[in-house]
Amino acid sequence: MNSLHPLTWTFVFPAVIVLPLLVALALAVGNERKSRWLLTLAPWTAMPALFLVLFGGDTPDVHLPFILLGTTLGLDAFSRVFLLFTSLLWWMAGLHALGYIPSNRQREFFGFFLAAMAGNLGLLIARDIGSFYALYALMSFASYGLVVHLRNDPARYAGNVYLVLVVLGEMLLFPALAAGYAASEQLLIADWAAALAENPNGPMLTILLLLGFGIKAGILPLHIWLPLAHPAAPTPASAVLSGAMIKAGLFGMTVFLPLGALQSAPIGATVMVLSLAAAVFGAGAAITQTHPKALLAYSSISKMGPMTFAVGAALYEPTLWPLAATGILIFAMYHALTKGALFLSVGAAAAFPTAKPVRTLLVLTGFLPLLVFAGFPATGGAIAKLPFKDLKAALPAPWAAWLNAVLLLVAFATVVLLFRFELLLIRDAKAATPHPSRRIWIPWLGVVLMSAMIHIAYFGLGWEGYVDAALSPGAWGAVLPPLLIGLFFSLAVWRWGRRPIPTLPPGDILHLFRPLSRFLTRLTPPFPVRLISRPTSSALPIVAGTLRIMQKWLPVKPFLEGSGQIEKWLMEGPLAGTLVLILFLSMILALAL
Amino acid sequence: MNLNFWLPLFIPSTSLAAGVVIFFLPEQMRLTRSFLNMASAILKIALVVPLIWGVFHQQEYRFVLPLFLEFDLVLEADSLSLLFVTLSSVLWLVTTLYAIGYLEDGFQRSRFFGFFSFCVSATTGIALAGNLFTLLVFYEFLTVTTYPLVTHRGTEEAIQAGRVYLLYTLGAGVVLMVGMIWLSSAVGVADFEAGGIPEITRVTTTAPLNVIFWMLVLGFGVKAALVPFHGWLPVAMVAPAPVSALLHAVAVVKAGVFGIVRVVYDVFGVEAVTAMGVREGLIFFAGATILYGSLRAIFQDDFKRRLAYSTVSQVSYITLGTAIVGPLATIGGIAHLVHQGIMKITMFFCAGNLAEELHFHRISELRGVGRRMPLTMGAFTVAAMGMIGVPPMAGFFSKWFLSLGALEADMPFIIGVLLLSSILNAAYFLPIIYYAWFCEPEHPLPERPATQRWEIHPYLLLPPVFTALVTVLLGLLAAMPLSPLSWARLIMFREYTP
Repeated sequence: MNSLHPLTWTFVFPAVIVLPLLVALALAVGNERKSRWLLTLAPWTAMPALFLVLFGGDTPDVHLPFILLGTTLGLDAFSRVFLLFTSLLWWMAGLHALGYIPSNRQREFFGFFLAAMAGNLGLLIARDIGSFYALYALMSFASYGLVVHLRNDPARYAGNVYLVLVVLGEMLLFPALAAGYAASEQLLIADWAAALAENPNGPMLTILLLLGFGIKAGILPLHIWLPLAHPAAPTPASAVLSGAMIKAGLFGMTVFLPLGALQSAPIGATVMVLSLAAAVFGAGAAITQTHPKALLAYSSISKMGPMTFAVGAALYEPTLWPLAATGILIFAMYHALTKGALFLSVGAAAAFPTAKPVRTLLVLTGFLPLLVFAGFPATGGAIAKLPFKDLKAALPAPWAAWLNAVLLLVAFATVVLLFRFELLLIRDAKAATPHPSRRIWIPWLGVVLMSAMIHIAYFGLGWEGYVDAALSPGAWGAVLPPLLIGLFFSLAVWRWGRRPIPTLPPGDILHLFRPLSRFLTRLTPPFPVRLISRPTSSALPIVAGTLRIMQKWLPVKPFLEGSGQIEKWLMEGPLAGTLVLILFLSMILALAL
Repeated sequence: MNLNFWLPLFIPSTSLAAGVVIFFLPEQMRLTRSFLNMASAILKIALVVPLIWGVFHQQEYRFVLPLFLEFDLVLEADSLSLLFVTLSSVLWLVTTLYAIGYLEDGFQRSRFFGFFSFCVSATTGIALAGNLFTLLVFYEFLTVTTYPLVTHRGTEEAIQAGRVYLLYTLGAGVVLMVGMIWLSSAVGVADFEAGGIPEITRVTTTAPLNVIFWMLVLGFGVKAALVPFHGWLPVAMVAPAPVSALLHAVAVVKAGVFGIVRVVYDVFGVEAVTAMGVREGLIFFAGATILYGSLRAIFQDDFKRRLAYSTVSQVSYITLGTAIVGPLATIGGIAHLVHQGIMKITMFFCAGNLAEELHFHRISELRGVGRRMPLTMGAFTVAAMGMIGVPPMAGFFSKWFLSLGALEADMPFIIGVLLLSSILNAAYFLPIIYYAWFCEPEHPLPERPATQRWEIHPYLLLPPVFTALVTVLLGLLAAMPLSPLSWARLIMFREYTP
């Protein structure tokens, strides 16, 4: 849209961040009665971002030299795709939340929701390290409010684990950013990343970045918060957590690492191995879940696998980056929208209208995201796999075979886990009392249709080739077998299976701490202050556990008592003596010299 | 003899004069007293503004009063002193407003506000002091004027705290005085000079200089709460909230650390300090203090005590930035002088509000207070995030430049100290935020009286909200000219370019 005045963008770019924040602030200070219209407005504050995606493809960057370290906002082809699905998902989840969240909790919910949204949308247009880090922190801390929204034990527990990992993530990213900047003095992310390739400490910083962003992206074994937090949050928040915010970690990796310029075979190989492991483990763990949202969260860990694999592949062999980048974009977009649709499906059936034809139609539509997610031929899921086929072809020997095997395995497992997901949905729908609400099912339908008709967006973004290839009948043969096997397997197990699947408790390896915690709890002298809430749920809050371990193995008690006593002693008089002594000694020292 | 000569004297004098008048006001003349308080605080700011412009444009503001021998009373405005003067006069205005709201129903108000004014006078004197002698004169004056503030409540505990405070600070004062005289006999009496006193660089035997350096730094280190000289600070918590606020953010602790900054930069100078090999020792002191203070803070349940230990830790960021002796670390340390002040004063205002309105003094009591006092706790949240170093709050930028400075000086382990401290900061601040916003109160909180429009009297509400806003703005607009960060850059520039 070249007819727009250039100055327009000077306002639109900041508006992406400022508008939701302003509404959040107004909600925080306003009162219940006056905030009705603000709440109605809330989901629509994602519009500036969408406007940017549609009309701001080739706008020059906006410089705000006085803000933070000197801020630059802008959009390129890569971030544009991220901004597209991110803004769509936040918008729809926001609309859904208007119906889903009880009205007496909406002000609070949207306060955190909009702040997290501002951070998430903003970090995609941030082009300098200062504003990126600030917006990333805003998103991370604000979504704590979403995780603990329900205020029950699982939510608080998940919140604790989440918060610890957020702080840890910040502490991993900070030194990486500072060290990179100290070496290159580049504030723009692109230049900063380019300089990283020449930095002698490059590998170390790369690892810090991968770990820091990996927490958000759910790389093994930093994924532990994800299956706890995503299900604990209310459904619309789960959708954006698992659909959009998880991609912020991925986005961070791709823009901060000089992919295509930096080669590090060991790091790349490690990332690839962990990604493949995550793909398999996530899918396997998902199948065992009894809570539909925990199932979806594990599936997110699984689906992040291919994307982080692409990052690893580009680190392993930089020439693969263009291919990997396309793979990441297509896959991220498909996963975000479809995962969002699946999350919103949880509980959506109860909100369907009771009138027969509409209801039946909606129930049938509800199967669409399952088909897309499983990657049935001609769907977005099938398209998303195609770049990985190309990637596979370009990869050196063992990796191609491994990727192939894992993709097939995951395709099979995805069908099984979706089957189970549908069974869990039906189980829950039977238990729920119907409460028809247009405000819930219309946004749900919106995301479902978006994910089903993602082809349109792929066309617009210039991936016609992949869409055509996926639609051609020749592609069907390659895609279908694992899916059909999965379907038959599920049906068989459903029909003839006797024993229920044992459940892997969400948070998996976190539970390894459990026996240790029980042992340590017995020897705990009470702390004057509990750092976090009482460990009420069956599992162990990580901070309290660490503290107990500290207490056991570090001389915390002697430290407290000792330092308290020394301080007391210092205050009771000998201090003056000490100071005079210092003075006296220094005099003697000086005279001697 | 023009305005440029007298202006540096006027600035401390405004509050000195106000203090003298206030002493003789009868207790019940509340309005006059408040008017005098506010008027002198505003007048001071009005006097500082032209100074900022002038110093930025390299004008000289210098007042000299010859006393005895070669010891002159010199008040001079340079870029560093102006940073401190601006900080103290702005925060003073805010604290005065807060103190009026907090204490005007109390007793001995004339005494309190009189010393309160003297105290700001002493602080601005310290800021503007042009040589070590003048600095020490005002430094002792500060000690004497803060003692009645600490013991204001007159309880057994307060008097005990006052005794401890005097023991520490007077003891340190003796060491400082001897160090100053010794330095004068070694290199002569000289004014502060960016880059160090020239005579010092000419001295060949550094050994006595080393001793003098440590006497001065550790002498100032007592007020700056360097471990192991920090003990008085948590004890002084018995003082009323506005006093704690100013002790921690503006006056006493800051005066100590300002002294260290002066000694390193303008007495010895960066070259000499590096050559003398004392910076590693000072870094060790600062680093140990940062970690020790944070560790102790975690285990305090008393709100103000936790804040006090946090001050011990945070103020040493400034010492650390000074000790690294490099341009970027200097920016970080000096900017933190302002940032820490703004953030910490916010926290003490909030602690005071909780004590005043709900009589809550312990952190474990704070469950659910966010709903009852949202603006107070909102301000606290902003300040706490800043302390942890989350952008866009001001604290992030201190940490950022300190880290860059550490890398510049090739001491990456300092980043480790900073990160560890940030984690500890998170460990003792986040639970407070968690209690306030995400927990239900154990007992129903006292309701807001129907006659009360806001969650607390506006005089008590306005200051923390204002300083929290400033905390955000200082960070958000960090790159703007005349922001504390940019001003710190200016100071660094004048310090490192001979």
